[in-house]
Amino acid sequence: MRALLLLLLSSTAIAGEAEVDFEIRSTASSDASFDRFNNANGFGTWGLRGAYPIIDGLKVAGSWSHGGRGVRTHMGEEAFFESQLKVETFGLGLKQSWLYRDIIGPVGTVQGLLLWGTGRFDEVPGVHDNPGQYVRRGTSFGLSATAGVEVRIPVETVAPAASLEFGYLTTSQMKLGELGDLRFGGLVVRGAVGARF
Amino acid sequence: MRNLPLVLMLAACQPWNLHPRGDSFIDAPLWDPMGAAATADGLYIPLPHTQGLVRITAAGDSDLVDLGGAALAGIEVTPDQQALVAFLSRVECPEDEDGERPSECDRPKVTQELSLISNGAVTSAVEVDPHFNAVEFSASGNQAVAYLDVERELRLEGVINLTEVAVLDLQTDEVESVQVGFAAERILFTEDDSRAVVLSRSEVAVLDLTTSPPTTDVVFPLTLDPDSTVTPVGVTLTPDGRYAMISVQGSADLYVLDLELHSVNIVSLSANPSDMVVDPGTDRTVLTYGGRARVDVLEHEFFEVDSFTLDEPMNQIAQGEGLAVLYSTNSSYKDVYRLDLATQELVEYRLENPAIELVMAPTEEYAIALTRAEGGVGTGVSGLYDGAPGMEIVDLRPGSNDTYPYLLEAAGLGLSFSATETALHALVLQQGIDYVYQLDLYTGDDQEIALSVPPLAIGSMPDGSFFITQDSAFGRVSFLDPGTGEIQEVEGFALNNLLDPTAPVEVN
Amino acid sequence: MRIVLPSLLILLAVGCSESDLAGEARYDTGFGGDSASPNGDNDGSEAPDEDTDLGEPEVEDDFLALMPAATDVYIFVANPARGTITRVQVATLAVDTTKVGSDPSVVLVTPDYSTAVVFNRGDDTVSLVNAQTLDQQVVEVRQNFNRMVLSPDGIWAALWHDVRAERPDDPPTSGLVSYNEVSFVHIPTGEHQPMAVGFKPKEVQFTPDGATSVVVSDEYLAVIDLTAQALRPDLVQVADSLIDPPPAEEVVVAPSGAYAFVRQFGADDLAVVDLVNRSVQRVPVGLNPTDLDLSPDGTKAVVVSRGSEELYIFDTADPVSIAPDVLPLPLGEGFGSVLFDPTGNQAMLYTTAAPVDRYASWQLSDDTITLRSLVKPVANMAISPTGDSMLVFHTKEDAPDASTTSPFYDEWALTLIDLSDHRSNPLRLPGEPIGYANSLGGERGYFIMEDQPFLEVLRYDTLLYDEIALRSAPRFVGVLPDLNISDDDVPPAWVSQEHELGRITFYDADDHTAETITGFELNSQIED
Repeated sequence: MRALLLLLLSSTAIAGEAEVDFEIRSTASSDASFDRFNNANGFGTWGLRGAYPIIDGLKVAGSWSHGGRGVRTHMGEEAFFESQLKVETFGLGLKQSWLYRDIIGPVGTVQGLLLWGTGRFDEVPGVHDNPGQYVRRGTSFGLSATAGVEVRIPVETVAPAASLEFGYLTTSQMKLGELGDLRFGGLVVRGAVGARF
Repeated sequence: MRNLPLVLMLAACQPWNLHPRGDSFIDAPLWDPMGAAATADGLYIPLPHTQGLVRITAAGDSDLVDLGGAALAGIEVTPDQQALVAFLSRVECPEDEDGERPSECDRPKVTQELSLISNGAVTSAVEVDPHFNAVEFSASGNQAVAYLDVERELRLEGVINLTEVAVLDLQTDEVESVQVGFAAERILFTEDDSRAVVLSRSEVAVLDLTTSPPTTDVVFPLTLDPDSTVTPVGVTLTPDGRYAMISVQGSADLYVLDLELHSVNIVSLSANPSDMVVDPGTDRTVLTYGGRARVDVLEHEFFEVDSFTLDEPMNQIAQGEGLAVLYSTNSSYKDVYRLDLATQELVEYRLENPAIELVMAPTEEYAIALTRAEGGVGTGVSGLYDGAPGMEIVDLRPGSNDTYPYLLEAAGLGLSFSATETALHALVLQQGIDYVYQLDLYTGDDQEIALSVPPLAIGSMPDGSFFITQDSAFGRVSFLDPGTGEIQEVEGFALNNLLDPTAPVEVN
Repeated sequence: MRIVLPSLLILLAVGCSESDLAGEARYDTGFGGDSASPNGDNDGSEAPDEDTDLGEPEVEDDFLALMPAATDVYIFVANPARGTITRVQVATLAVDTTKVGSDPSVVLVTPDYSTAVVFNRGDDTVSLVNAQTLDQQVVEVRQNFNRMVLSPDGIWAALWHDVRAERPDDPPTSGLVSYNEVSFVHIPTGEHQPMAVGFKPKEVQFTPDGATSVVVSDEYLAVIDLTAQALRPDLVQVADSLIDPPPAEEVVVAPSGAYAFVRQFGADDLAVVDLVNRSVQRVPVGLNPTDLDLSPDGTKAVVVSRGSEELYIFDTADPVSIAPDVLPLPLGEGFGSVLFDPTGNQAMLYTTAAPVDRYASWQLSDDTITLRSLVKPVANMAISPTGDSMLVFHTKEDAPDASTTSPFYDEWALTLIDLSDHRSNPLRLPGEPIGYANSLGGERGYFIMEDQPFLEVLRYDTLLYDEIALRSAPRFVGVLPDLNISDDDVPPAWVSQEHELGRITFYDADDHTAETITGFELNSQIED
C-alpha cells in the first residue's frame, strides 16, 4: 500500500512538467479530392507541440504543424500542370500521460483543430509569374484523438522525451474556391521528440 | 558565397516552386478549347476531365452549369444560337420494388438525356438511348434527330439497335425512335422541316416529320447487290428541297433522289468528289475532285454536268453567293480558282505556298488563304516565302486575279473576318504567338492585339464579337471586340470542380 | 425542254391517231436480235435443174427480242438480268420499276397504250402490266417460246417458238418439248388458250380487224377465229406434199382479211389461202420467191422471185382470178428483197443473201426500175415514215470486186439516201449498227452502234449527222410517237444504255438537249 502511494506521488510530481515537442505527423486522407495533390493516401506534417500542466498529469496542449504535397499531373503525352497543397494546422486540447517511474507510460491527446490550406496550380511550372498560376485558400475545422506511449529520460531540469501516438483525425470540408472541397480523415500517427521541464 | 544562405532561403521561400513529389495522370484535359459553343447568352465550354460544362461571358463571368449529377457527353448549338443541346449521361441503379433507386447495385444502368441549356441552366430534358452521340437540327431548330456518329466517342452498352434514330420535337419534348437503315451517319433536313434525309449504309431513308409520330416516308436503296456496300458520304438538297444529292465513298456516282416522285437518278461525275456545295441563287451544285483537275457544275433541272478543266486538282470549295472559290489543301498544289456560277467564268490565282485553309470574307471581295511553309531551299524572295508560313489575300473582285502574300511568324491557326460598312478586318491567329493580327483589308492598316498566352482557335459570337481560346491548361478565353480592339480575358474556369469531379460514366 | 403530255388526252388521242403509222413507227426499229439463221431444211434437196437460185434466204430483221416498247407517255424497258421492267414517263422523267417474271425478253404495248405485255422467257409466263398503275397479272403459257406479237386491236398476244429466232442464251429445255404449239393470251382478261398448230410455226399474223389470226408453218396455215369463245385452229394445208414440205417463211394477210399469202422458200408458187372458206389456191410466182410484201395501200401483194429475177404483183382483192403483173428485175443482180416507201411512190429492190453492192429503185407509177450503186453490200434498209429518205445499213463484208483501197473496205458503213433524187452520203462507222429509229415526221433518223457510246442523229434534209455522246454503250434506240402533230415539237428520241442499274437518255432534237436517267433499277426496291 505504501509503495503504491509512493508510486502515485512520484508520478504526480512528474506529471506537472511543461513540455515542448517537435512532432512529425502522418494523417490518412482517403478523400479522392486529395489525388490532385498527392498520389498516396496520406499527408505528412511536421510541427511543434507544447503542453502546460493543469492538474495530475492533465495538460493543455497546443500545436502547430505544417505540411505540403504536390504532384505533376499529365494530360496526355505532352501537356501537364503542377499542383500543391500546403496546410497549416493549429490544434488546442488536452493531453494526459501516466509515466511509470517518470520513464515510460501511456499518453493520450485530444485536440480541436483549425486547418488553413493553400492550393496552388501552375500550368507552366518552369516559368515564374506566368499567367497560369492560381491560388485558392480555405479553412476547416477538425478533431484529433491519439493515444500511445511516451518515454522520458529522467534528467534534472530538462528531461528529453519521446512519444509515439496513434489515433484518428477528422475534419470538415475545406473549400478551396471553385476547385471543390477537401477533407482529411483517418488514422493518425504521431511521433515526437522533445523536452520536459 | 556570403549571400548563399540568403539566396537559398529566398529560393526555399519562393511559393511557386511546387516541388512535386510524384506524377499523376488524367486521361482527359481539363477543358476542350476546340469544343467551345457560342450562344447568345455566352460561350459554353466542355470540361472533359470533370465531365462538366462551364459558361463564360464577355463580362468576365464563369459559371458551372448544374447538370444535376449527370456527366456531359457532348454539346451542339441550336441553329438560332439561342440555346445549347447537351448529351447528359447518368449511371443509375434501376428502381427497386418500392420505387426507390438504390445508390449501389450489381448492374447499374447508363441512361442519357438530351437537355436544352440556356442562360447557364438546364431548361428541359428528354431521355434518349445512351448510344446516340450526335444530333442534327432542322433549320427552324424545332426538331432534331439524334443518331450514332461512329467518328465520335462511343458509349456502347448492352444490345444496341443500329438501325434507329431518335426524332425529337424540341418544342414538346417528345421523342420517337424511327427505323432507318443500318449505321445512320448523316442527317439533313429540308428547309421547310417537313422531311429529314438520313444516310445509312447502302440506303437513304426519308422521314416524314409532319406526322405524329414521325414515320419513314420512303427508303431508297443505293445498290441492288447485297454483297456490295455503298457508303454515302455527302448529302445536299437542291434549294427547292425536291432532290437530295448524295455522293458515295470511292465512286464517281452522284445519287439524285427525287423526294417527291420517289425515284433515283445516278449522275456520273468526273471522279469521286472531295467537296460539294449547293448555290441557291444559281440553283447549281459545284463539285471538286481531289484526284482530278476538274470542277463540275451540276444544274438541277436535268442534272446535266458542265465540266471545267483546271490546271491542278482542287479538293475544297469556299462558297459565296453565286460564287465558288476552289482551293486545295494538298501540299503539292498552289492554285486557287474563282468560279462565277452565273457566267461560269473561271479565274485562276497562284499562291506562293500551298494553302492550309481558305476563308472568304463576308463581303466576298476577298478571301484569305493561310499557307504552309514548303521547306524548300530557295533563294531570294521566293525562297523567303517558301520557307515560312504565310497568309495570302486573294482579290476576288471582278477583273482581278491578284494575290497579296504576307509572311507570318508562325503557322496560321485560325482566321476570321469582321465587316462593317467602312472596314473589313481579318483576324489571324498564329501558332504559339501571343497576339491576334488584325488587318483592315480596305485600308491596309494593321495592329497586333496582345494576348496573355498564345491562341488555339477563334470563333464568332452571335453579337459579332469574337472569342479566342488560348493555350492554357486551366482555361483561358479572350473576347475580342473587333471594332475597338478591346480584349476581355476570362481565365481559370477549368479549375471548376477539379477536386470533386463527377463520377465518370465508364461503359465498356 | 420538257414536253408536257396530259395523259388523259394522250389516251384519247391515241385511239384516233394514225395508228398504222404510229404502229409502224413503234416497230420501225431494227436489229433487235440475231440475224435469221439459214432455214435448216434448205439442204439443197430442191430440184436443181429449173431452180438455179440455191442461195440463202433473204434476211429480214423482224426479231424484236428485248426491244423496249414505246408509249405516248411512257417508255418501257425490260431488264432480263433483274427480272424487271422499267417505265419512264418522258414528260417528267419519273421512273418506276416493277418486277415481272424471270428473264423478260419481249415487251410490247397495246395500241391504246394501256397495257404493257411482257414475255418472261425464264419462267414461261406473260405479265400483263397496267401502264398507268403498274399492277400486273401473270399468265402462264406453254414452254419454250421465243417470240410474241400482239393483234392490231391489242386484244390478243400470240406466242410461239420460232426456230429462226433461237439464241445461244435460250434457257435449256427439259422434259417434253413441243415445236408445234402456240399460246394465245386474251389481254383484257388474262385467259390463256394454247393450241397445237403445224410443225415449227414461223410467223403469226392477224387480219386488220383482229378477228382472225393465221399461223404459218411448213405444212399448214392455221386459221384461228379470235372471236370464238374457245379458240381452235383450222389447219389449211399449204404444202403440196406433207412429206418434206418446202419451208414456209412468210405469211401476209390482205387488208380485207379475205386472203392470206404464204411464201415458201424454194417453191415456185404462192399459196393463196381463202380465209373465209379455207381453200388454197396455188399461183405461180416464178422461181424461188424470197420476199413477199404488201404495198402501203394494201392493194398489191408483191413477190420477189429471186430465182427467175422477176417481180410478181398480185391484186390482193382477187389474187387468184386476176393475173399478176410480172416485172423483170435487173439480170444478174440477185435481188431478193423488196421494201416499199410508206407513201407507195416507190420501192427498193435489193438482196441481203449475197454481197451485192447495188440496189434498184422501182417507181410504181410507171414501173421503172433503176439500178443504183452502193459503197458496200446491204445488210438492211429502212425508209423514213414520210418516204423522203432511206437508210442503208451495209455489211462489213465487201462485194467480191470491191477495191481494197476504198475507205469503206472491211469497215462498217451506212448510207443516207434522199429518195427524191437518190443523192447519198455514205458514212464509215466505227462499230456495227445495232439499232435504228426514224422520227415520224421524217426529219431525222437515229442509230446506235455496238460498244460505241454515241447516239447518231441523222438529218435527212441535209444528209448530215450529229453525234451525241452517251455515258455508256447503247443497247436500244427509239423515238416517242408524236401525239400532238399540230405543234412543231419533234418528240425526243431515246436510247437505253448499259448500266447495271439502268440508264436511258432522251434526246430532244429541237433544242439539242440530252437528259439522262441512271439507276432506275433501284426504283424497284424503293420502299414507300
